[in-house]
Amino acid sequence: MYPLINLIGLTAGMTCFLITMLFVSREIKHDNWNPNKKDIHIFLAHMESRTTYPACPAILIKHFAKYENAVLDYMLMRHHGFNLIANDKETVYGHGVKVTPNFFSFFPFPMKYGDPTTALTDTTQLVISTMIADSLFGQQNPIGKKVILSNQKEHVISGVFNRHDSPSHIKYDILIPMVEPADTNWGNFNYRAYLHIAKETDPVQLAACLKQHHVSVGSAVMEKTMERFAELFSFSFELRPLEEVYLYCNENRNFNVVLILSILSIIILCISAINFINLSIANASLRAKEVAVRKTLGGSKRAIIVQFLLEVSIICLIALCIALSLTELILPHFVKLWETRLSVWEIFEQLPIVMTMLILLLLVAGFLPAIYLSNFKPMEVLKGKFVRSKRGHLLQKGNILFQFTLSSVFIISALVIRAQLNYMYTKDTGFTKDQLMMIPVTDLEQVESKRNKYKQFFKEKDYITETSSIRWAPGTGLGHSSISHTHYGEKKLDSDIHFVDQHFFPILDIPIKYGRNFVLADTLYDECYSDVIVNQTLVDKFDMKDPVGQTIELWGGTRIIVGVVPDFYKHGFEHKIQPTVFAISNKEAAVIFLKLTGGDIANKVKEIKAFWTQEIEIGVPFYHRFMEEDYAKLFERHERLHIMILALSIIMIVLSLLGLVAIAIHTIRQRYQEIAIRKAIGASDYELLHTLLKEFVIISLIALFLSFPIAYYFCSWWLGGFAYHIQMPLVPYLIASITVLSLVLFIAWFQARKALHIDIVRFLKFE
Amino acid sequence: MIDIQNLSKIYRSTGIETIALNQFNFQVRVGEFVAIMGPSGCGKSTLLHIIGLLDTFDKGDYYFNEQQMNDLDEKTRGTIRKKQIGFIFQNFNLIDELTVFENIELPLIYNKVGKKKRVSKVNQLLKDLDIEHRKKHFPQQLSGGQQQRVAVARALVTEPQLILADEPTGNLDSKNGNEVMELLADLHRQGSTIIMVTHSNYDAGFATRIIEVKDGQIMAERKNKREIRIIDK
Repeated sequence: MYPLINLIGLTAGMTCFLITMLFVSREIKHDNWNPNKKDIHIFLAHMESRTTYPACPAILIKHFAKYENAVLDYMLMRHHGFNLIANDKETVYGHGVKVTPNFFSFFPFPMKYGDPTTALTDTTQLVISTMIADSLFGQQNPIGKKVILSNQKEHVISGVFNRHDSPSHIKYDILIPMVEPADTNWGNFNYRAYLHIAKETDPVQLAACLKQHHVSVGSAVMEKTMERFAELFSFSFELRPLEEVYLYCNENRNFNVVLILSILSIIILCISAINFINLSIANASLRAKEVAVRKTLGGSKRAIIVQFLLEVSIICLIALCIALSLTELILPHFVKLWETRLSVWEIFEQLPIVMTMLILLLLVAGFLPAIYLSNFKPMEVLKGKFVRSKRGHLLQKGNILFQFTLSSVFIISALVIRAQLNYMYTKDTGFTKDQLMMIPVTDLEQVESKRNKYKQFFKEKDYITETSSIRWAPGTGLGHSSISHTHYGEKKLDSDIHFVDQHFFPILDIPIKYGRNFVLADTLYDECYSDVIVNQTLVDKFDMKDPVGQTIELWGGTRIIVGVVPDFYKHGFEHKIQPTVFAISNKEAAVIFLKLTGGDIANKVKEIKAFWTQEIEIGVPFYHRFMEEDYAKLFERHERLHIMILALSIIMIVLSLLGLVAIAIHTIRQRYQEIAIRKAIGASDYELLHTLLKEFVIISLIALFLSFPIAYYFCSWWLGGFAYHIQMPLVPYLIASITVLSLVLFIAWFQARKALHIDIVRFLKFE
Repeated sequence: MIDIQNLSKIYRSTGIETIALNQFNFQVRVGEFVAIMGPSGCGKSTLLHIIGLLDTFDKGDYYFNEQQMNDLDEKTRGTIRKKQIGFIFQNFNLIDELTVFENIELPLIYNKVGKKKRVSKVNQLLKDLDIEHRKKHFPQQLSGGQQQRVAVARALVTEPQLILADEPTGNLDSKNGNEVMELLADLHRQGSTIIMVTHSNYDAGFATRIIEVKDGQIMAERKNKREIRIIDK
């Protein structure tokens, strides 16, 4: 029984540790392999009211680098969206980016084919990742092969790079050469810039110089006063070294994840080791007689320690083997959850860490009980007297206390996260997402030229009730929108600007609160109309009394507010709803919305797909999405955390229960004589149980008491990340209390019950 | 009060049978002070444990206050123990984690005596046995003699009909041992029924009747001659 419990606990701890170690080492590896990770800096612009963007005007960097010797080299890139890439047989998708020719001197990814110095020098060239190369060309060398990018331009493959073994925050699969950035506007923050700066340069000072340069040169070029220019572009600039980009400059808070997971896995490993020691010591008192007899027969202390260490080593090795197999079993799920790439073989890259862990475990978990055991005084043990140390007892209680505090924190956290997730799933987002099919537009030219054709088709199908063409879809990653200053009299705001058509509000069931919807003929039109619709937040922030008919300034032009819509949660619940201006355009639509009715969606989608691929976007793969599913993806990150915390709480509870079993057995066995005395005096079973369980109940109550503020603090911090969140619920605290108390009582009761049937006479005779 | 007829107790361990008590017959009347003597392993402790309902037996009959004790369940045995029997052990068997006061109080708690009555009873006993100044101490802080006096107090606190003492002076020096024996003699004079297992002839001298047990049977039984006590002194 003991070795089995020991094995389970140790295996759980090791598996946790191994998986987290793999994950963390992969996360830390990001860009760390880059030889210039300290000297290459990313350019970041902080907006006053918003988050940080890694964006700048291309012209600023070009101009600045000419005058500033500290900038050794710079590299620019521009996001190129989700691209389609095709040869005569296959078509695949990948994230594409336009890069300057020196990309590989900044990010020296290993090249499978091609020369990194010449692969990006001509705009007809194209560099693809091994993933794209494999799906397009199989095992062939694709250099010199022609491909079509997004149904528009022909490119010649000039290189294949492998980004999977060199993890980086650069997650693009298609590199499109950009010899000269086209945009020379000092006010367009459209490029991402990396600066290779001289070692002795202070990046803070350099960023300040950049800011100054932007204002002084930019204002002159754009013929504005410096004050006006500075007001228009009131961003502050920052340069961050490459080695920090992935972990610290990322919206997903990668460093927090790495930190939390590392700490938790180390705690769990420690706890399984402590439990191992406890169980071994508890077991040791069972074996005290064996040791005592060995000693009286002349076994040396060393021989006993060696024997014990050998036993522990065997258990550790078996646990490691099982943990490795478990890791291989669990890893695919973990990889899927975190969308990362890990293989169990990478453990061998981390052999020193694994070996250190094993040796430490052996030393601590093997030596301590071995010494405890070998120190038994044979005569006392043979007479039936165990070593009873008050301090050891206290340590054990402290350990149990710690474990149940943690378990309770985990349970509460998992439940609070679940509650917030449920809140987000069920809360009215302010718009209807049901049966809203989205067709992302890939080939804009074809789509716009065949507008009448598909409009006609949609009209004929009675299961399509409404359609809308828009540049941006709420709650999804589709399309694009912008953020701009909006003026109302003297007041100024940063507002979200979305281009939509007149069908947008009806198809999403968003009512017009005041005023009216856009009124337009259903033809193709561009943003030439001065009518805008705004949301309630904008009205509130500008403190407008009677918004309909008022004018606001946007991009230097005057717009008339024709309608006001209520606020809706277009980006989920993490960010506050921003003041928003809806301007009108159905040109350059990124997404076509189709509202479907009735059942049998699969067949309807099939019909639409057939039509779309044969008549509209010919030769383009069709990948439709549903808004409800896309919106749910906003919560993926939180679902992930929930799954992790839930998994850890289960492991934690199992571990603490194992620890409790060990300690319950040990402490209750130590009280056998006391139980015998109490029984002799006439204690009933109930009274004995009360005596035995009292201390366990007290420990779990203290654990719960300690866990509440910790859990409250953690959960408040986490909930604080949401602009819209639930009030701290009390039920999780109640559930955690009931769970911990009932589990502790059950385990202790199970062990105490055995104590009720001891042979009184035997234990009364102890001296 | 106690009537034991043809009682047998056999210990079995893998293949070997040890007969602890063999067709044992034994009676005790109310108010008697009986000493049981005999060599080690003669069955005298087993007899005491069976009388005290701490152990079971294989054959024969045992009547306690004319009530048959064969095949009682553990709960009933516990009730009889706590209401009618007080134990005194050679190794005192006090609970280390409880104070002197709490140790003595314990049987009263198990007998569901009210708090007020418990305190006054325990305090009275502490005074009677001259250990009042020690009531907040833990057993480990006391001398052997004091510990045994606490144990005696614990045995007396419920005013049991029967007191069972298993070598009560075995772990004590002669001075302390004598004091404990005087205590038992006083109790006997006040009317308590006492059965005591002992190795010591001197201790046995305090009893009114002495039986000698060997190989699970009574070898001899005699009325005590009080003179022994005087000669030994």
